[in-house]
Amino acid sequence: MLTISQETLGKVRKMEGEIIGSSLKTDREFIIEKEGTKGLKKVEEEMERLGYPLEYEKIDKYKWYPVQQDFLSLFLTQKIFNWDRETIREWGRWGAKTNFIIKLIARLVNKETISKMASKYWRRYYTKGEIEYKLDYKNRIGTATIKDFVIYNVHLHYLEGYFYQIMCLMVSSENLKVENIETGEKNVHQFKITW
Amino acid sequence: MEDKKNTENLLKMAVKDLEEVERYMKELSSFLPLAVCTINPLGIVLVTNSAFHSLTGFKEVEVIGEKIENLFLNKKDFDNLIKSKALKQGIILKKETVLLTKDKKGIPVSVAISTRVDENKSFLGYFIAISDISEFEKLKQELEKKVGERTKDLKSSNKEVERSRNALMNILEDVEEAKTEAEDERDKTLAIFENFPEGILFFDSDNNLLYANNIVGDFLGMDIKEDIGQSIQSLKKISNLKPLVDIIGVDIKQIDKKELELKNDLILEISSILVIRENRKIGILVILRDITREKIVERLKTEFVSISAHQLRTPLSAVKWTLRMILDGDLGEISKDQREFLLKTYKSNQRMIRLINDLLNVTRIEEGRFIYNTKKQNIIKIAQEVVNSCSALVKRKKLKLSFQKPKNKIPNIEVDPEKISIAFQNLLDNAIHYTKPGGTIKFSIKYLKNKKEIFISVKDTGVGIPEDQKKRVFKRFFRAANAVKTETVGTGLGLFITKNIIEAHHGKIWFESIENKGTTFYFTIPIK
Repeated sequence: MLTISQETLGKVRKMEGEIIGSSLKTDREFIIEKEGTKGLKKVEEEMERLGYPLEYEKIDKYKWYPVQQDFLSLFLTQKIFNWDRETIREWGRWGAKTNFIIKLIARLVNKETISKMASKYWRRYYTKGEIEYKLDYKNRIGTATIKDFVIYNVHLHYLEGYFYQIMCLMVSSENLKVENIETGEKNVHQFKITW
Repeated sequence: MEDKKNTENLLKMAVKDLEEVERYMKELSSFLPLAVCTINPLGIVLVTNSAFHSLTGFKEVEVIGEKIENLFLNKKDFDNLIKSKALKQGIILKKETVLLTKDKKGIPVSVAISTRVDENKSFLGYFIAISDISEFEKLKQELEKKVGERTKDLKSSNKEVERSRNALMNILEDVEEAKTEAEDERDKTLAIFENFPEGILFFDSDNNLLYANNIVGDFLGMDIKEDIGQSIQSLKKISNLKPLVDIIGVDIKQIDKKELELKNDLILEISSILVIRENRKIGILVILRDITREKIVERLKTEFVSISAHQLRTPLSAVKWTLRMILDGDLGEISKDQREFLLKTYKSNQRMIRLINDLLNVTRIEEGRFIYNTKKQNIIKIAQEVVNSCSALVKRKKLKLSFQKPKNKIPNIEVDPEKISIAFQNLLDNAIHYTKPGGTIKFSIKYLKNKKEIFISVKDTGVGIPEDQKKRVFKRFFRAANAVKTETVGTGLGLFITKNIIEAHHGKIWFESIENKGTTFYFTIPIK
């Protein structure tokens, strides 16, 4: 049986905000891709046991779901299957690649508009928090900063992959790196982007 | 409250519409047989469809975010394409290149690319459609290979054809030359035929007139050229041609020197010769020869001979009887020397009389005045008389003459005894004169009951007739060279007269002879 510390569980309970169903839908597909439907079932059982039942099959892509379910989906999957950081990043990239909303947005985004449109599209994913993109194309460096949003390690790794994939649309992926960096500020998470 | 409810309803409807749009896009993506992808301005793949995955072997997650150029064997191909000015002007470009699949296999593809812009015409990237042309390329290569092979074959064939053509041209030139020569030859031959002094008609194997030269028309007093192509039956209906057709017959027999006397005192000698090539009758040639002048000359000659002979015979008869009287002593005694001289003179006179008689007979024959007074006669008796008349000479020449008669009695036959006697006499005289002393002569008469004819033969062991002269034996005045050497005296008319006599009796005469071995003359006389 998987254990989650009471501390973590307590933090989860305090998390605020909602996530769009389509994001959770991409989680389902990735878990099936990696662990099959049996693996998915394990995750569902564990979430139910913890009191956050989620039937991935029935997720409505255009409905909002508690952000706790997103966090637990990531956290428990990583724990159940003991995925490493790189797999979580891959998960993030997967999410950016397969999410229908991202697909729609990606057609319209370019390096001139991404900074301006990032906040707007954050809202299409989450009801809580905000994002700020700063990109210096000349020096091939930038940051993506998420504010007012509770994130834990596994989620940070997921977002590293996610932002990496978004950046892939605008810069060469040859030397692209996206890393979470400490900000020292509460509920502020920053990702350093170099390429 | 009401507004919130309305907003929620609108939101629900929008979500539903969005779901519909997504489903539609998925359906469209799955249905499209063409591999399509959307890329951003940097050439990063944003969206792909099912056909794209099938073609490349990549799953969507494997290719999204990747540079599209990595999918092509020659990255510059794609780079050049997106840098094209035409593309930026909104023109859809196409290029054939090689796509690299997930398993690094190269597929020949045709790539179509167009630009994407937003509502403000801002550049957003590209749409790319990729179609697999591997089958097409394969077909193209096969076709090119086949075309190459065919071209090679054709080149080879062309050379062969060229050679054949040259050979053919040479043959054609030869044929043309041969044709010209043949035409020249034909023209020459025709010119010869046209100007030939004798009339020439050529009938084909079906007896249709194919050719007649001008002189035929002159002979017959008509334009014969107009009747070329007509059958012999049709020609017979033409009055000018009828006498000729009567002679040659509607079946055009082979004839030799038949005479045709036309109304205008023209006498033609008609001969027809079968023309055979490779054992096949191809036609018949009829030759008309004008013998009018020859006939006139012949007639004049015959008349002259006749008159001369008559005029000569009278004094010769007077000489004969005068000499006879002197030799018989009716005019007194003569010395032995005188008798010898007179006897020689008498014999010479006799030969002269016989010659005159022969000449007269010949002229009669030629003039058709050799009258035959036939009556039933005993041919054996006639023959015996001739044999008896020859016995003194046979004895003098020390020859052995045998006369073989039929054992049984033979019927009397219808003959002119005088003429038949001449025929027997001539044959026996020849046998006696041209057989050396000691030789034998066999005179034989047989009765061939089944054939209803009398068969007569006179066989000698004489000098014979040279092979090269046999054909002329029955001609007037002909004497074989060895006969002249053996017997200087002779008119060369005996066999001519004999033949005419036998034929006048509807009989046939022929001979067998070997030079220096002897000759046998045969003739038959039918019993009527």
